Amino acid sequence: MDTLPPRMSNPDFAAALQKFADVVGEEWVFTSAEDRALYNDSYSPFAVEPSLQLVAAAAVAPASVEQVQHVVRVANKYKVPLYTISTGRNLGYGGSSPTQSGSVVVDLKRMNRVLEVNAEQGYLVVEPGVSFIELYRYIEELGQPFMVATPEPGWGSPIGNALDHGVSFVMGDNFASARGLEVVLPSGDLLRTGMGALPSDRLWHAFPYGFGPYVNGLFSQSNFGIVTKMGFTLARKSEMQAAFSVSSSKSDDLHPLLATVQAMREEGLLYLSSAASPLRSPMAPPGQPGPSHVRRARQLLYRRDGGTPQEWDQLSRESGIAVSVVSGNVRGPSRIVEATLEYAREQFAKIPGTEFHVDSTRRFPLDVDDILPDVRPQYGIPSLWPFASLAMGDTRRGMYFFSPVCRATAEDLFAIRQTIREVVLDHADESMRDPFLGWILANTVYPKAFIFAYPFAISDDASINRKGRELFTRLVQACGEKGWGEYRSHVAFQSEVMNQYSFNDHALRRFLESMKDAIDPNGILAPGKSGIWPKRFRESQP
Amino acid sequence: MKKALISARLRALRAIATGVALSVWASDALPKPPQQLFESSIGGVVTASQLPGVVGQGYLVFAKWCAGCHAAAFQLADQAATEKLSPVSRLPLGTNLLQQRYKGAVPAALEQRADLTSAAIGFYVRHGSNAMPALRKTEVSDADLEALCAYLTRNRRQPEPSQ
Repeated sequence: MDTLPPRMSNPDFAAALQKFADVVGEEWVFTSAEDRALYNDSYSPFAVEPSLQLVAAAAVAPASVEQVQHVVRVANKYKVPLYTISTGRNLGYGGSSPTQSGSVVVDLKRMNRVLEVNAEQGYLVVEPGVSFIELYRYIEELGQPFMVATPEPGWGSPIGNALDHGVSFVMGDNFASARGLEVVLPSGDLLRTGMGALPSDRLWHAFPYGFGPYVNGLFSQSNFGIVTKMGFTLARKSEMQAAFSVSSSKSDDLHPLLATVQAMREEGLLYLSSAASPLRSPMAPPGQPGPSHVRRARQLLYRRDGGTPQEWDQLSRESGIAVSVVSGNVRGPSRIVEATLEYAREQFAKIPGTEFHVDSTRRFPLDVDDILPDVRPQYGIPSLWPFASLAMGDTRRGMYFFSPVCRATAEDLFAIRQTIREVVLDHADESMRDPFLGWILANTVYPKAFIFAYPFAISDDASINRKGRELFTRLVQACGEKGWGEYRSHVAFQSEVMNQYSFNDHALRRFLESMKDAIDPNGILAPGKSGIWPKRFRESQP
Repeated sequence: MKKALISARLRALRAIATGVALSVWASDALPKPPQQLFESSIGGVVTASQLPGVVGQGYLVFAKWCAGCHAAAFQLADQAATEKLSPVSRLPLGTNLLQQRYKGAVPAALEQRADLTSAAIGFYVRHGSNAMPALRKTEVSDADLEALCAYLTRNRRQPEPSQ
């Protein structure tokens, strides 16, 4: 073996691999260099620094819950660290790569059954290997009236996505739509959460809590178990889906615009909302300066104060490009959607000088051919076409994301942008600055918070990638100090992200580690996931 | 006008090549589809190919795993509206990048190529390229890959070079 799990001897590892093969069959244990390379992160921050690359020592692909239990028991016997993936498509956050190099990847893609679509109660139960694309086909073939809560893009797993707090246009917070879980624990024991713990599974996916502590959350972004089944609330196709936006040429209008759209959100009238600044997102083809407003916007964004409201207002008036925009999404019976749009128009009319646009209205049933492929996920139709936008930048080696959260208020939005601007102006080379100074879209998938995904493009030049990682660390720290934590992170940076959650001498992490040591004494499940290291690896961590 | 004609001809060619209607099913108002449906990474579903055997299977592998980035340019029913689309709506990532690379020397859409080899297809599927990740054997099995190669090399006039 050229790659061994940490602290393992060659003969022990060979014996463990043989046991894995006894469980899943020889053909589903991958040990050759060629096969193991398929588990490398395709968007690795260490793409051109092989010595830092996180690699799998092997991969094993069970096809059933029982096989997963056996694999975990074998791993305990030999103290083999495992790292579980569902479809392995969490690109930008690690893909199919483990947190601890030398782990054996447990690839659940073969567990790809949709176990139930319950039309009466509006839920479904899936295995981890099912992708959104596969789920869509299944629901369409049954002719069921449900949308698929897909993110962009659609080859990810509903389970993997929800467990990493992923989002969709359909449900917003996908983990919030989770119902019951079935989990293989680090001992190999099998757990069902909530009402699933009763002798009958009648209420497993009907009532969220069961009795006693609510433990679903312990299995998200964690290393406390391998989720093998999960129920999800389904969104019914409505009669109509519409989106509106409200734009202004005044920078300060973002305050009342956001307050208004958030008030509608609180009333339950909108299922999603967002804030943007097209003028502050200057785009030009690579290597070209672009039109004059793009040059002027970049000058303001590169200034330490980011430009005064008056300067932005003037540029907005002169260019005709909006500086403040909010949007809202509505769905339901068409009479209700139309009335909501009318109500929104009235509310925003109270902010003088703003313009209200209905951007799209579509009636169901949809004619898929008539919907642009890159926006199909917005209608619950999974696709890979959203990757098309990567053609606008240098994507030769992919990217990873800096994903902080701020409050869904204009004040917090300006404040976090300013903090990011200062870090970037002080510490980033000019060639790296653009993506962080412009205003990327702020999505309110969560009703009270914006989440961001700032891309760090990975280059062919190791020194640029190192600088990128240094900048990432500075951003994590500067934002963390002010209370803007990340909601999600690439596997390579999860410990430094968790380090920011430091209240009372890292009481949260200490609690999680106590739990880890109690339920996984051999430290076999995903060591280091979310910065939770089992005892035997903890001493060697920074 | 000329552009419209060319793309109409391309579409017709593509339909002949794949032997299936490329339209995807609208969902709930239609009666239950009479046929089995298969995954499409463009968004929607496809029906089985009428191409024989392994080539037809390869079409389904392509539709599920490749089309979302390597399909031909997207067309709306309205040609004038199609021409106004942004490049992101019009071209999936792989097709866009291959168009930039080959500048028309070969078709940018893989299904229209007549020069692909199984060795090259296998290399890209298992190694990835640019933003395309490698596809694992639990996703695209070796048998799936063989079918995909049969489909994407079906237009070759010359035999493949021996490996």
